[in-house]
Amino acid sequence: MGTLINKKLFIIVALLACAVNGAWAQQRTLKGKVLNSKDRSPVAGASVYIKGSKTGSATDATGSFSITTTENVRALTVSSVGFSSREVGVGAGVDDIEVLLEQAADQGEDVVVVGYVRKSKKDLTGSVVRVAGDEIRNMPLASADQLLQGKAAGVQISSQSGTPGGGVTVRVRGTSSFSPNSPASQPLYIVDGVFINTTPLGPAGYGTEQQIANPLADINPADIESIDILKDANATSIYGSRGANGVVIITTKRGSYNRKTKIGLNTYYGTAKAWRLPEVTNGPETAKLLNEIWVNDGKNAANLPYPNAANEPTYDRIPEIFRTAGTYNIDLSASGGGDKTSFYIGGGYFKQDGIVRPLTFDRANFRLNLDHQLSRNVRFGTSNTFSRSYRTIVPNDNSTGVLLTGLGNASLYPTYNADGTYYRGPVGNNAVALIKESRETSTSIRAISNMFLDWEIIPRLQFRTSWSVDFNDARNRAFSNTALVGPGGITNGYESSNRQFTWINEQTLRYGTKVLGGNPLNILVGNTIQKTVTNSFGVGAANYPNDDLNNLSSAAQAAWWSGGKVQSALASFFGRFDFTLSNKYIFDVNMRGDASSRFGANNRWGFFPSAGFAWVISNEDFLQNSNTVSRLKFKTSYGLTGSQETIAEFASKGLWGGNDNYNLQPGTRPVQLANPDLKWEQTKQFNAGVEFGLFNNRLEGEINYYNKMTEGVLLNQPVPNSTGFSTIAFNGGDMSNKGIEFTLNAGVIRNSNFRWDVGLNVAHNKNNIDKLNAPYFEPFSRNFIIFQQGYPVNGFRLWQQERVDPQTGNAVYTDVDKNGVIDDRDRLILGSNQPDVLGGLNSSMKYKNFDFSFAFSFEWGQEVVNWNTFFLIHGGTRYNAATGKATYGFYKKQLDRWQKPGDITDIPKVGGTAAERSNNYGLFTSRALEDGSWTRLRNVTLGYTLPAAISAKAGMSYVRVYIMGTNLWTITDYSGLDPEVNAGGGKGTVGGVEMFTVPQPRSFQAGISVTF
Amino acid sequence: MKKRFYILMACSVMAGATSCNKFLDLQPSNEIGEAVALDSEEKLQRALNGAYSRMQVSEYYGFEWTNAIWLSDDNVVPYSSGTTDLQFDGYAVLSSSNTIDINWKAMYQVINAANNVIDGAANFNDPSFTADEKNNMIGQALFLRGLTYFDLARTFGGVPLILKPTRGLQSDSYPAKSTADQVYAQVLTDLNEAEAKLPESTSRIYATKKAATALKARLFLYQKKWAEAEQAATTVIADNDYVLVKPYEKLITDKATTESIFELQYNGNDGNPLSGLFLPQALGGTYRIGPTNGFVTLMNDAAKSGSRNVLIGMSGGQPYGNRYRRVGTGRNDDNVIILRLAEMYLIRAEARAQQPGKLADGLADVNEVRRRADLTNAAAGTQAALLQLIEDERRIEFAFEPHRWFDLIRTGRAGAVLGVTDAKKYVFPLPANEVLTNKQLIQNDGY
Repeated sequence: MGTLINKKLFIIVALLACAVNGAWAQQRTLKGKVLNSKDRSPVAGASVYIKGSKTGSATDATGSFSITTTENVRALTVSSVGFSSREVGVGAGVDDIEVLLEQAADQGEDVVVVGYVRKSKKDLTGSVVRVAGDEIRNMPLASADQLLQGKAAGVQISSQSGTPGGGVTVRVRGTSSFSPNSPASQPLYIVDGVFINTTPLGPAGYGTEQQIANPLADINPADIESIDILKDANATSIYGSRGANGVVIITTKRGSYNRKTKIGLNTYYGTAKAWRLPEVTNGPETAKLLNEIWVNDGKNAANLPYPNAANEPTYDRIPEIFRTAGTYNIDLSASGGGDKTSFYIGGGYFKQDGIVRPLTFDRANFRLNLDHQLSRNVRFGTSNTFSRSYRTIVPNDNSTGVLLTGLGNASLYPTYNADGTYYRGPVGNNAVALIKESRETSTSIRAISNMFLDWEIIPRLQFRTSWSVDFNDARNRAFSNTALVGPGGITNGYESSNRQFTWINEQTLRYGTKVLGGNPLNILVGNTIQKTVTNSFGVGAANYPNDDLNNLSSAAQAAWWSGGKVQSALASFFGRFDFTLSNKYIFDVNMRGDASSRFGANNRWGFFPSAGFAWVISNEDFLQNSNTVSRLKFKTSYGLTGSQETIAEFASKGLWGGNDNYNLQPGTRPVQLANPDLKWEQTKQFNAGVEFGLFNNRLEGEINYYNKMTEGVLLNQPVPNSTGFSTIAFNGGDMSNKGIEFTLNAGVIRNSNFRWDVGLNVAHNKNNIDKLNAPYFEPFSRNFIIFQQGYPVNGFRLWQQERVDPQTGNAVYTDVDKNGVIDDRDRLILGSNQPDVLGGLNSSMKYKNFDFSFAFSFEWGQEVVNWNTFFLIHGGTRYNAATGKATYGFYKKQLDRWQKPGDITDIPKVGGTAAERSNNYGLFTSRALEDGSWTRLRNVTLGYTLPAAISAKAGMSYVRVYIMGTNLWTITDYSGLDPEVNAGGGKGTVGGVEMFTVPQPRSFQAGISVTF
Repeated sequence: MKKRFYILMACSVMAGATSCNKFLDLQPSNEIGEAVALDSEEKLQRALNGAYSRMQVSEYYGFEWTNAIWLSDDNVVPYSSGTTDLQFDGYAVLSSSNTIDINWKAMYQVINAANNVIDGAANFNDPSFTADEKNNMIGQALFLRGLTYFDLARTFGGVPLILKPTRGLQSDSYPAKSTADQVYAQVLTDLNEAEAKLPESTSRIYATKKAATALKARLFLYQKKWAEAEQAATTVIADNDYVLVKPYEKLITDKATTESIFELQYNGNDGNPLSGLFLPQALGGTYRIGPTNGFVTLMNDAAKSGSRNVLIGMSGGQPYGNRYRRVGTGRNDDNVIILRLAEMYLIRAEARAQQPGKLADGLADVNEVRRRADLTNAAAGTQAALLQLIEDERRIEFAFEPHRWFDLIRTGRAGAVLGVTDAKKYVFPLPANEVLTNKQLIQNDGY
């Protein structure tokens, strides 16, 4: 009986017991109240039953109940959702009973969800961050992960582009894998107990190495109650083989029993545009540069490609590419419940246009969460989301897409011919034709469903069985009409489908008791089996009768086809045990054993244990009565987690494939090198931290140090190509991530009219590849991205430009080996996309009915390669060498080139011999590398809530109107369109590269939330 | 009620535990295991088709390798994109060049595919698989291997010789390189063996005994074994199945002409990336590369080009290379000619020019080729004049086929014609990735 509450309860029960003389076998009416033990507030809807009988009642809004019975009443059982159930002895003659219910752990202020259980944060030994749904509401972003940016220490959230519904890179405590497969290093996402698939199935742009569709965009953020991010091994090892990169647990809203139905309506409208636009040279400037190239190339100056450079026309395509884009959202929900059943029904529609035409995203979704109390000890329920996401995309973001062709084709080329048809410039297609004529769409149907049943077999022994499916079908379709393919071109189109189906079955059995004089002990065991099957097919066709008959079946010819199926399965057993001694010392142990179909029979099983310890110093006598220190806890943990999804389903096998023909006879070929020794990637993580609360927790904080060592990183290790293969799936490297995280939350002002809270989180992570047999060069980047031992991941390997020789105008690079020749041996790893420091600053103020909040987020110390410059500051490497005419245009920065002896600049001369051009503009040089640090005022909101008296007159219980701005202010030295981009979004091994990537939008919106 | 839950729970646990291994033992359906990939005659035939198909890929004959060779000569320059292209045009090829990397990779994929067929067919014994069928299969694979090693050696110099299929990663997966002479010797061994095994038949698109002989003629030319080159070329020229086609343009528009000895057959299903490479956008091409001004001038000289001037077209006042023109979705099916009769004539011409007393015969061979191009007979009074004539003929006759760069190197003329005096540049660098991955492999001198 350690706590005050328990003492109180003991006294109440004792008093009740004292009054007992015997039982009366006659009708009597038991009356009483059920109150919250914490603040004595009434508990409505609590079930009060006579022990051993079916007679009972529920409490009303004042917490009162009344039961009339003739039974012999010895005790009552009282239960309510969110509270621990109690048995209260009833004495004869007592008819006014007060029952104090203790809030169950999951309803307290600092409750978090960890593996399979809810825990009060104070009882944790691990590192977990919770973000409440309220904190991320109404942001004009499609997916939940984007909303977390800057909210949790050590969690890096980077949008890959401003493509609506596009991919997001999420890294919890750094990058610990580097497989090119896209889910590499992404955390495990669990939505209402379902391990959801995060493999992107469809493109938001196009192609596997480019902008991908974000699978989390299928979930409506408005339905989210809370998001818990599990960071250290102790928190994640119960997810074993899938926990190495952190775990994100999303809990959606549920109804409450005995609650009047609440209808919520939430809508907003906003507009967005690019915060910075590209600057390209106009026609005369372009022509002048090309004339200069011509002359510098040594060609006849009397025969310039543009004799009247100053009169060349300019066609400004930027207003046709970029737009002010609308975002519209409406959510409607109903929640409530009777005494046995509760529900949450939500529906929403979200539509967002991209700031680059013609990109759009829209999502319609439904949610149904139901809970039913079948009997006193059996409850079942279901959680379901069903959504349809629709995207308008353009062929190929970065090799023939709108931005590349729009900016690429020199501005002296028109958009239209004199007859109104599209002018086909020298670089790819016509951007405006792509915008207006391209019809490429991606439709994704997603259903995530879970059913569960809880059974309290005996008191405190809970069994749960849970059955889930995650279904995702992404269907893409395109048609290139006559206008798009141009005169002489052949109309073509395709349709493809990627369907992924996962089923999961899971059982848990948990037991909680008190031992050794009241010290809580909890035990949980469970098993999971799951299987994922992905089916895909696609057909391309050509030669359609006309632009209106554009279904596949109308086409005259088949152009290509594809199809296939992959599957994987996982079987797991897990357990967890925690014990708290004297309310001061917390011990816990987690473990999971996983068997994966990805590995051969000998290496199939992996075992992932962890242990944690915490010391609640503030519960020691010497701090018990401190006025300053309200909470102080030291915690540490160590454990193992794993990773296996970064490699292909059958990566360990030696395989032959088809899809080859010679003279229309089918052919086969070796496609994969066997590695029967392939096994789990393993991450060992140490965590030590201090949590503190001062001045009655007005100032709260947490500091964590961690050291993550990943061994046997699963990667596609390069092998000599002379084997006929280029890579082998291999446990080929070791990687470490060490860091410190710091969180501070302050209740600066707290009084009845004015409340001001400020939160700051800052994290530092140091990533290093400790061991790698052979460097990995990323082919997407033409090998300028390198993963090499002794460096952080995603290094940028470039030639360091020292200066532009003022005499010759040629670039001079650091001659690393000092042999007088600039070649591959002179490349240096000059940076990486890994930030040194990242975090966020959040503030929220409430004054009477007004609320005002803002949030900054920042990433400092990473580099970005602006690959656009390679195309648009090309200095005469991209033009028609025979005629001297333009192909690619230029960024304005090209005008700073060296022109005559004595010029001091860092842009070399344009043109020259092939060797000079290759030296000056043909290399990946440090000119393209920039400091990618940024600080962003992510969000500012001003809201007003109608006084309750006024809204009540309109029949509403809550009305709030607000205005919000996002990305209003960006502080960065980066000169490209946006520092927060990644052209190779779909690939785990490409980061920090801008290549005709859609920048982040700046947006304004207004909205209203109403509850009836 | 309780009973029902016990049953439910029991079922769940059973579902979880039921033959866990079977549940996890999934087999791929998009591929098959290597153990069963070559276990029948039909599967061996499929693998052989795959080996031909590896040769067609865009990284090898289907674009990138031929493009790199063209850019290195004086006929072709980059027209639109391509700083990588500039490295070849400017003789400043970096070992990090993506082109080099993918050329190498594609070539060794052919080698491994061929090795698998050679090894697989040799070890597959079945009464229905006759000795002739086995020899034919192995002979074709040997030809493909020989051709690829020949291309490797002339592109990179000495390279590793791998003659067994790769099965898993072994210590011998990290080979040192053999010298160029050793590689050429292996090419000869492969071609001799192929000649012995292949039947006396004529096919333009599959390897035959005569194709092996023709490739030997070229090999001997590169090795300066003049008599052998002459003899091999003569064997092919003497064969009545090979006739120079007229007009020259048929070589561009048609497939598998009577002149063809071996060409790669493309179809619309997996089109040839070379198709449209020279053509302007208006004609459905990419205009990636085009003829040099020097080559355009040469083509405009009717006395030199004759009917071969169809190699150049004009569009919007701009010249373009008018080869590989079968463009369009479902088309893009230009064949890539590897060996044809005109080359045999010019090989023999050169081999004769290099041997005493055969100038007249050599000149006659050149004139065979010139007559087909509707040109008058040329005269050459001296060995030097004849050799120059052959060099000029080859430049035009094989303009957009990957010959000239190698011709100028093997004849020692690259310095005089292209200005590339550093002999180290006569082979490309080994791919940087390969040298980093395989510590046994020494980078070519000068890179």
